[in-house]
Amino acid sequence: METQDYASFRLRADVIDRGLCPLCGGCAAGCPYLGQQRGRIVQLDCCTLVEGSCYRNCPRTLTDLDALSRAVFGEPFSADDIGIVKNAYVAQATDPETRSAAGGGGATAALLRAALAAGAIDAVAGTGVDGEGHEGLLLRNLAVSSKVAGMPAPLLLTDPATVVSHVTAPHRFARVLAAFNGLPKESTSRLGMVCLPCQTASLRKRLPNPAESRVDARNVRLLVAESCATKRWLEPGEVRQSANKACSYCWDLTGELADISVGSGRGQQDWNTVLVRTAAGQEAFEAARKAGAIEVKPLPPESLAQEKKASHDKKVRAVRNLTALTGSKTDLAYLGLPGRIVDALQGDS
Amino acid sequence: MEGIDVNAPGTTQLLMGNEAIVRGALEGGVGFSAQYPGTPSSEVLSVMASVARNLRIHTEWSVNELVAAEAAAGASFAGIPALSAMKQNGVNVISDFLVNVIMTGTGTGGLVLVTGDDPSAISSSNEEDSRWICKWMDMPLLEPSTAQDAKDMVKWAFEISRLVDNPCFVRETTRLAHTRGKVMLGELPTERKTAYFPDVWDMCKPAKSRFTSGPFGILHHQAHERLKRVVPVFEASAFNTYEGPEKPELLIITSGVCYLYCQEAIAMLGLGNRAGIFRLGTTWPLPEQAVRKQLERTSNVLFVEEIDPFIEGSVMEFAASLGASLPPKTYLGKRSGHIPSWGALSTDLVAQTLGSILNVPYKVAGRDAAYSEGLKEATKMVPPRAINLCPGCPHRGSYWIFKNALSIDGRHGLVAGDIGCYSLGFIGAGFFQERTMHCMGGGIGVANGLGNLKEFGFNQPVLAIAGDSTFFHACIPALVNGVYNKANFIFAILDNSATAMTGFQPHPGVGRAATGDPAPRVDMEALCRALGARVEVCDPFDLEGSTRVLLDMMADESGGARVLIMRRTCELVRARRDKGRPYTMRVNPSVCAGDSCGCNRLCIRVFGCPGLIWDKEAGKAKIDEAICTGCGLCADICPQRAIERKAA
Amino acid sequence: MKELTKEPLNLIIGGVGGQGNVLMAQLVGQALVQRGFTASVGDTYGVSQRGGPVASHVRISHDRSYGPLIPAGQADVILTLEPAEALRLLSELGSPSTVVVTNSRPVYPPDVSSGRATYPSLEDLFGALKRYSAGCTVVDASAAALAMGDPIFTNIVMLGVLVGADVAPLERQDMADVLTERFKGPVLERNLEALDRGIGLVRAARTAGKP
Repeated sequence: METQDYASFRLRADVIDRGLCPLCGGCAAGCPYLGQQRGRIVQLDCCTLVEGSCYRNCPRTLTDLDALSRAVFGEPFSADDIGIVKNAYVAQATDPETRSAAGGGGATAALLRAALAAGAIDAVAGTGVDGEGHEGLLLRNLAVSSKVAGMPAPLLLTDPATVVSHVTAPHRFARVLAAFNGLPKESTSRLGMVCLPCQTASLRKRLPNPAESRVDARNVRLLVAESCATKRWLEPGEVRQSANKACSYCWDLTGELADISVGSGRGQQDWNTVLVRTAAGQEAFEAARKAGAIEVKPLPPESLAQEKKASHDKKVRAVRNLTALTGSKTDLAYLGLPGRIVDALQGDS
Repeated sequence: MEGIDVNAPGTTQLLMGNEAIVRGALEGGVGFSAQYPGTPSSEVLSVMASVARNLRIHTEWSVNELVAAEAAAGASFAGIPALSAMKQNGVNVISDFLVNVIMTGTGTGGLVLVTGDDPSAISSSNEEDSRWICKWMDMPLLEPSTAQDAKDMVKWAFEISRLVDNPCFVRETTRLAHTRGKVMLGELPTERKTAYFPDVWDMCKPAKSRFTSGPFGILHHQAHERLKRVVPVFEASAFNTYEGPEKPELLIITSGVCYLYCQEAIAMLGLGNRAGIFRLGTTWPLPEQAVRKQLERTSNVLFVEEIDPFIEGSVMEFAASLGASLPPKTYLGKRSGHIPSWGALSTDLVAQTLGSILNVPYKVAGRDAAYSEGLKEATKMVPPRAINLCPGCPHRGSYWIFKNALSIDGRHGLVAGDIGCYSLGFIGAGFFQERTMHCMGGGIGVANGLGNLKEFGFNQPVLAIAGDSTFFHACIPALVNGVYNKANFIFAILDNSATAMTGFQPHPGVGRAATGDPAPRVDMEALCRALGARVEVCDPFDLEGSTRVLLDMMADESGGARVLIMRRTCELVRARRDKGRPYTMRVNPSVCAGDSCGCNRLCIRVFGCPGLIWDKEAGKAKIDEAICTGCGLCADICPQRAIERKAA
Repeated sequence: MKELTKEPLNLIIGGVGGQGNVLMAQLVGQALVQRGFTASVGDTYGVSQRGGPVASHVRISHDRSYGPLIPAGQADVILTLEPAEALRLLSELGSPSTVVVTNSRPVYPPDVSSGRATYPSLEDLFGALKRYSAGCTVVDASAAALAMGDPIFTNIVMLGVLVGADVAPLERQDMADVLTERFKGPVLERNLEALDRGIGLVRAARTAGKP
């Protein structure tokens, strides 16, 4: 076996060195060899395994979206521009402080807090800052635990009162997958979390073969994806340039594999667009509404149309950029979209 | 060591070469001994110090060989016979002092310098033959072959030094230093010397002291002349012996332990009436008449010596100078390729060479082809055994911290290494972190260079390391340089309160003298702060905290040398002091992830403490309770928290 | 054994750095000299002490001094604290007439633990030792030391094994005397216990029909 056969080195060659890595953190903190620091995936030593979760769970290694869609929804990948949606709404947190903390509708925070308060989930996996407690987490990786003051750190929140501040913070996505990866082996804690679309894909990639994962991804009972927007902040000193560049290869504006996708309320400052996709998502949404945590309105058709167009355009750009990267129309690097969809997107570019 | 100072002439003791050297010095009237530890010479001062109080002589571990040699010379100037022993590298370190002291002479005390060379560099960073310094600097050289020789020669060396008014060198090698042999003791001196520096200023007749170097040309000439005084003594010396036939087919010229190899090889091959051995005990200046007499026996000469062709060259130079008056000869040795030009020799090697020269095939005793082949094949099952840091060694923690911090930092940082147990950082034991290693103080020295290349776009973090003993030995000037010349590096002092690799001799930071008496403790931390450097102190077993401090120091762009003291007592010292282990360790097999993703044998494949082994049947890591010292560190690196640590 | 049966008798004491090889050889040398023999003992110090292979060459004679190293093929007795080291030494210095006495507990080198090399099965190892020597006695000195509460006694147990195996001109009293000169009080008691456990181990091995 040569170095180039090792999973972690293939990850570097196939994803990181090609400029595809969106820093989702799905590979890091899952082992003692990989971590995430200061805008980089850091490798601390040489893991010689040829098969590894780092490569397998990366959203930028070959991702069969049909298979994932079946695993999450029981249906093949949707040709619809915003993916499979059970119901679409406009919603906001009823609590004004939550909306103020979120700087918008606050729907994500309200949904997760309500689920935790109701006992539908045991903890919210999230991101805190250095110095906060890390109950339940192994901190298996020194790259994660060798913190510098002010830097993000993985957290498990079990107290509903702590949810809002963490889930609305600008750095909320920075270590959320590290929090998942750092769980003790065979943990059965039911989790809720807010993720970026790429992070969503990383978690869902574990579903088709749960036995291969150290921690069962089916434990994530409420996965809320927020639209990828320029507001995402991973950590101070993050090189925005390269993060943006990697994001230009991303197909998923809204987080099509999540239970619920939350976006900004187009034109409505204090409201969020909420796309409920799965039964679990619907259950959580209804429970939050019944508990008075959220106020709900129907989504205006023109807003839905705007969402769809934006999502479609992102897919077209992704296909175009990937084709430019690989130099071949038939090689879209990681993107395992059904052929008919690719043809349509390529026709549109 | 009990009994080395016993007043019982004529009795015998089983002494190793280094112990015999001490006995010889005592018999020679030594009053002052200063040394820095260095394998294979270290035991000389330890043994001397054990009797220092009884005999009221001064012994000290000096901070380095240079101060040791200078101090010993000072004692000799004041009329006290003095000894300083060192390894080959120590001879390099003292060379500038020597080149000046041969100008002034060593006075009435007598200065004996013992050098311990390490053929094959078994415990050294380089291989070298230190005998050249005697030819270079006009100093007499003696080479013992047995412990008895060592005692007798060292005793004699004080007289020789006084005769030539210069240091007298006695050169041993590892196999002499550490081999025990029977030694018959001689008499101990009864007279006790008084110390007085004789050449003080006389205001009525002011004159330059003879102990100042100058006028230089004339003094160099005088050094040559003073050496000649010993020639007749060496010509008559009983240490230069011949055994064998009157006219041997082959004359072997040899010195040191190689003499014993030659004797045994000749006996093994039954060549007693064909080969003769001329053993040189006084190697420089060459006793030319004695040598000529031997050369005239035969026309075939084989030189057998370690490490360089020192005697070979001197004899051939001498022979050439005789021109036609000496019949031509065939000279075999390192130049001809008959003897390897590097590495330690052995009886087997000499036997093979003699066999090929004299046409007597050398077969390993008692073995036939079938046995040899079969055993060779069977031995393939024996795995290689690399050296490793001890279980519980703080350096393992330090290197783990360096590795992780440098990886996290990501700017291709490096560790500039030095000499000590932590030198093992250049192999897996220290995760291959050590990227340069030369001499004592070499790490921080090199860092001073790498740390001042900003103009050329250099931005790699530089981490220079050294142990606590090495710090006092060589690093302080380089640290001053780093502060003064604003070199950008971090100097990590691995303070384990020991000079560990050479055998736990004390140094200025531990508060104990060579005799075991309490000694002032030099505060390393205060010293570094006094230089104006940023100083942090960390525990190498605090992996998280120390990594964080180091990352912070690496991010510190203010430049200039900064100091990180990694402080934790050497495990072997701690075990002896505390008699017991801090923790009982256990790997929980139901939690251990072993070969699978998320671990991949991190604790044994990467971390590598010998106390952790692989249970092949279970597919899990396991504690080897015959090796584990219970330090507890591995519990902090296991990604599954499968290693349990219970306070003992 | 009371008398010296060969001139010289070449004994090699081997193991892994850190096991206490040097102390063993020192004690053996001292005991031999006190018995009136001439012995030279050549140790390995220095870097090998950090887990590398170590060996002490002991050359026992009535009255002659021999060179520090045992030549190839001339080891009469190989006594080791570690079984793989016994085979390594046998290959360098042994012959069909060499007698091997070894502790059975492996010390795994870094290459084995990391998976880069394999340690042979003890069956294969002891088989090879038996096949290429005049006989191999295997004892678990480490277990005896661990039973005393500290693996540090392994080397003194092996000194007892050396005495009990009757392969060198040393008897129990000779070793007990040098231990008494070197140690005092409870430490001496423990070391004497280790010595006797070693002697007992060989008796047990021989009674069990092993050579």
